[in-house]
Amino acid sequence: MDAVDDRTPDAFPLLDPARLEILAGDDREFLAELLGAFEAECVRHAAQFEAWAADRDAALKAAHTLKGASRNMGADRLAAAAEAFEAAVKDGAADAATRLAALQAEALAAAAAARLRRQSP
Amino acid sequence: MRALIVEDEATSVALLRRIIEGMGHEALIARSGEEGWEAFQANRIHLLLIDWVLPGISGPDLVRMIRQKTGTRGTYILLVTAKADRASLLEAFEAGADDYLRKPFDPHEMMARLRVGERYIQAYEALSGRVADLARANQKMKKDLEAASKVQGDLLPARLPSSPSARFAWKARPCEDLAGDTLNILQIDQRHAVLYVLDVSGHGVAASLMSVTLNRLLSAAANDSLLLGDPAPGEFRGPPRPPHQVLADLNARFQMGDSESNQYFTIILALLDLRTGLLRWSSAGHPGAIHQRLGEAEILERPALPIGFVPDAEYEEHTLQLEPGDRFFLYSDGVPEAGSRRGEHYGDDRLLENIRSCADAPLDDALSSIAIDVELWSNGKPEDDISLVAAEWIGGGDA
Repeated sequence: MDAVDDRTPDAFPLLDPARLEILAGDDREFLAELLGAFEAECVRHAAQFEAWAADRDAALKAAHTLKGASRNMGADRLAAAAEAFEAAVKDGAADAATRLAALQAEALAAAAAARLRRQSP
Repeated sequence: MRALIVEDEATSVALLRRIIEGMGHEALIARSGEEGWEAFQANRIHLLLIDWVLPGISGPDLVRMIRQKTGTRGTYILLVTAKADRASLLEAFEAGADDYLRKPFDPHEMMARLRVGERYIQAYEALSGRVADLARANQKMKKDLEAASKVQGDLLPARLPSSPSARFAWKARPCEDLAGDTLNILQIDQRHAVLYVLDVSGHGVAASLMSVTLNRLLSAAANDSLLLGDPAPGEFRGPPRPPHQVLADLNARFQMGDSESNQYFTIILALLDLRTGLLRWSSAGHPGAIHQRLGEAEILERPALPIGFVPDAEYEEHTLQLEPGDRFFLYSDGVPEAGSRRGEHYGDDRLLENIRSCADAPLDDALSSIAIDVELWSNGKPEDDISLVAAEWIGGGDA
């Protein structure tokens, strides 16, 4: 199955394995804790995206939090999406709603990647 | 040590807690600025790691609250943030943070920075311990000093010579340290009164002990008093000794090199014949006496070395025949040298003017007026002792 190959770290571009190595070294237990925390952050925020469409300040704060968490974890795609949304809101760009949707998608993708990584041996 | 992590984002909490616990410290977690404030007030926190963007009170505001409301310096505060601009960095330090680290942080760098915090806290606690020790020692010393100060106060004249031919008055206002001044007015026999003011160099315990010793040597009661000569056969008390001999004796006994404290002192000592009004006096480096006659007052400067400078110094005797109404003032340098807030000395001219303007007031009131004026001049906090002694000749003695 393809899933077998997916379990090598290089196959998870959503999370930077080099960064995880810096953070946890060979402490698998801590790595699992960290990934669990990250997944929970992503899911928690992704679940509130509808509310954010109406509350700009809350959305910006959430994007900032996601940016911090994703940078911690080397989740570069999510970090980039959060930054793009922040920039769009600050500039009053018309495509802020699109950016928000993209951010939500990236958050869910990052959550999935964290869960997969956590479950891999 | 105990660390408080104020952070609402779970991965940062996990990373920071692991670092803190890895360093052997206890980690408390608060997930908002309010929770952080409560946790800080409820616990002794040594290291504080605060996220910039928090629900509720922001990171920098929390730092300000902690620094301003508690005034504590015993906490090392590190702000962590994803903000990368220079203005934020400056704001963090302005708020009172000790350090600032950007997300994502390298755990090893975070650890290295927290080590700086550890060293700061260790130094702070060691210092606080020493300050507490010092405060206790200081408290004890203060009690001792108060006791010493009381002893000194007890030595001031309790009873003035009662003579129909002369009046006496004195004022003493020690500065905040223990006094180095002492003064006395005493009747040493039926016919003579002695007045003196002396000023031991410096203040504090050493000066105070010295002035107590001198006070005893210059008393009328002590049988080793320097004021009295050897009694004639069959007599109980000896005759009064001339002031210049008393000073020469003091100088022979108290040489600066002889004691570890290396003190010297100035003294002005007068012997008044209560029958004739003849005043004999000597000074050793002391500010000149003031003689007031009618509306005039002048300083009688008689330069001489302080006691303790030169082993075989000799002192001159001066005489003055007092007329009825004459006043004679002795004082310490704390009077003319009292400094105003702007550093200006009270000065001889003000002293003389004050004495002249009080010429018609009773002697004790005149001294009070001078003492209060000098105290006001130095804003109620004279840096040196203020000592004043005065005699007024009434006359009517059987000269």
